Amino acid sequence: MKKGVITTNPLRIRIPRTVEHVHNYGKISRYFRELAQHRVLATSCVNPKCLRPKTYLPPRADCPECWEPMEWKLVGSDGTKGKIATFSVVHYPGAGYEEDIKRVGSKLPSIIVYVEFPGADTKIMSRLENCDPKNVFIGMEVEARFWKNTAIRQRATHTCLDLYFVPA
Amino acid sequence: MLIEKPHVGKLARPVYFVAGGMTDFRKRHEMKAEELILQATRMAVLENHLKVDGVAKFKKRVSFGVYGQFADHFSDQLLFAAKAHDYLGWEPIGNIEIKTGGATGGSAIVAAVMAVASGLHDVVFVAGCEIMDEVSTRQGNNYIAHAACKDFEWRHSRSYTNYYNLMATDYMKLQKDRGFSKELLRTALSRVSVKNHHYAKFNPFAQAPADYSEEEVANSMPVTEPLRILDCCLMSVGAAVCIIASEEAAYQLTETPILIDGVGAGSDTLRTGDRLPRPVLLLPHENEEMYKNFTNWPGFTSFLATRYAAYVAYHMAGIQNPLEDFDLAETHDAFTISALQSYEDLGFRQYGMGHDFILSGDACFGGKLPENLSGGLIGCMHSVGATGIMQVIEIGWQLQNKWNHFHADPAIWARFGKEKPADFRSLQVPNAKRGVAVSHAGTGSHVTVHTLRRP
Ligand SMILES: [Zn+2]
Repeated sequence: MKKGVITTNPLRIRIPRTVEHVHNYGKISRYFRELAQHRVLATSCVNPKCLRPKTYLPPRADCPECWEPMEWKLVGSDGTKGKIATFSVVHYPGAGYEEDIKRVGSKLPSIIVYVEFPGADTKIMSRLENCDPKNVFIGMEVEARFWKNTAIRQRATHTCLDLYFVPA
Repeated sequence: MLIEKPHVGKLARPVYFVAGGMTDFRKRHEMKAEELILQATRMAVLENHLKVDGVAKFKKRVSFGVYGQFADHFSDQLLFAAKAHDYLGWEPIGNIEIKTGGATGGSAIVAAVMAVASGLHDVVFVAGCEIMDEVSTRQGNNYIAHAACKDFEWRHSRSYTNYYNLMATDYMKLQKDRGFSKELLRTALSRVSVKNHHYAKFNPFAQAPADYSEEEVANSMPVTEPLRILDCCLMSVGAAVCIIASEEAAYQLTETPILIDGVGAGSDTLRTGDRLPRPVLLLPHENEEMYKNFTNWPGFTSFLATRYAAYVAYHMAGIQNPLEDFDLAETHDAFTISALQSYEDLGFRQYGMGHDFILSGDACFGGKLPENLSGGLIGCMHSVGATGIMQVIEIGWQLQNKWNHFHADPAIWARFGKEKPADFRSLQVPNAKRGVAVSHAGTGSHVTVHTLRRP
């Protein structure tokens, strides 16, 4: 069979593709820049007229309630403690995940967690490291860690993978 | 965040389901999207005893098209609506393409209902399809996960099974705290899968007919624990088409028009973790007393969007108690866990008792409210853009008393290269009058609820 032909009837052919996207973090760019400095920033609505002022982590630049710009607020750094709101052990991820987490020294299976961070009203999805999947539970105390460490040549990925957690 | 009283709208004139048609659903198809849609359309128009003679006369009645395709990534064809529309020779009538993730099919029907109710169009053509076989399953999961927040969540697994599993873990914990054992819940999850694969056996359109045991489901390959491969929906290729019309046009086209008397659409934040606690939105048969201890609703355990859409549709249709008032339901069983959650959001059971809907047998044929007799997303298909349309068709056929016409005829099985099983049995619900179809996206970012009734 000819190269690139998968089946002849119906005729199915291979279309290889490599594409690069230039992703823009817009007004939440600061969040990812600060992650590389081992700081977790949330955003808070400070509009006195807001009917539902909250602190958002993941951050949003503008308040969904009153549509006013929010203010950045430092909520975490190395070792800040949070609690696991829920978790999931991933054995069979989507394509590209394993290569992606290799960049931050991680491998399957992954423990994906939603973490309640002190001071934030929403929960943030992250990864739990240094923990046997059998030992993770809802309510478990965890500590924030950051991937970038220049001393041991870790480079920030400027993605959500730069923040992870370990058991406290 | 908006609440408190949902806006319950009113259709400016009655809207009817006239006819439906589908292709069979498979992991991989020999036909292309537009070819599949044409096949499904032929079934809708030529095999439903319509009172118009042939394609040309039927086409004259239609003045608008609505197309559903979830992800351009999959088919690698943007503006798929144009390709399908002109393949069927509909030009120059107008059309729109709808995209709301897993709820695309349901949303396409919402658009068609709005077009007819407003008086803008008398007969609307609705078609949905998804070409999911151009990439590997792993890549497919990655594409679907592009429907999660790209900045904060997509990278954490690239798998919607995981996003649902995060909800499942919390749901199981909450239920355990309420005194229900892990084994009981696992049995309920397994039974959803067993039931839906089993009903798929009597559906010539279905992709995954099977008789699994509860143990086989519970011990199938772990995808993201506790969800196993048999807890997950299918990735399918196939098309579904239906015709929506005004009262006058519907009665001109068919002897058995079915009224669409409730249309609800709800939403919630894309990221599940962004959902803030709020009071439980009560359905007509519920009271505050039932949920006085609920402080974290909807949390990770419930779908506000489903509840909101159900609230609207039930109020429009005058549904007092869904369990009593409906004769059958098609729900969005993307995962066994979301089936249990949805039973509660839809009011088939009160919150915390979703498992009982399946364990009691109420969800089975012969039960109080047979659910997903098509096999649902786990047993029949999840060709995303077509899914919500397939559900409405299955309800429509049941209410038209046409289930046997489309499922029991050996010729239909043969058409799809299948043999009608020796142990075939009819799943036509006797004297079915009312049904409900639920279409669902994300981890509940969009949900539509349609109620259908025999006039
Ligand atoms: Zn505000």
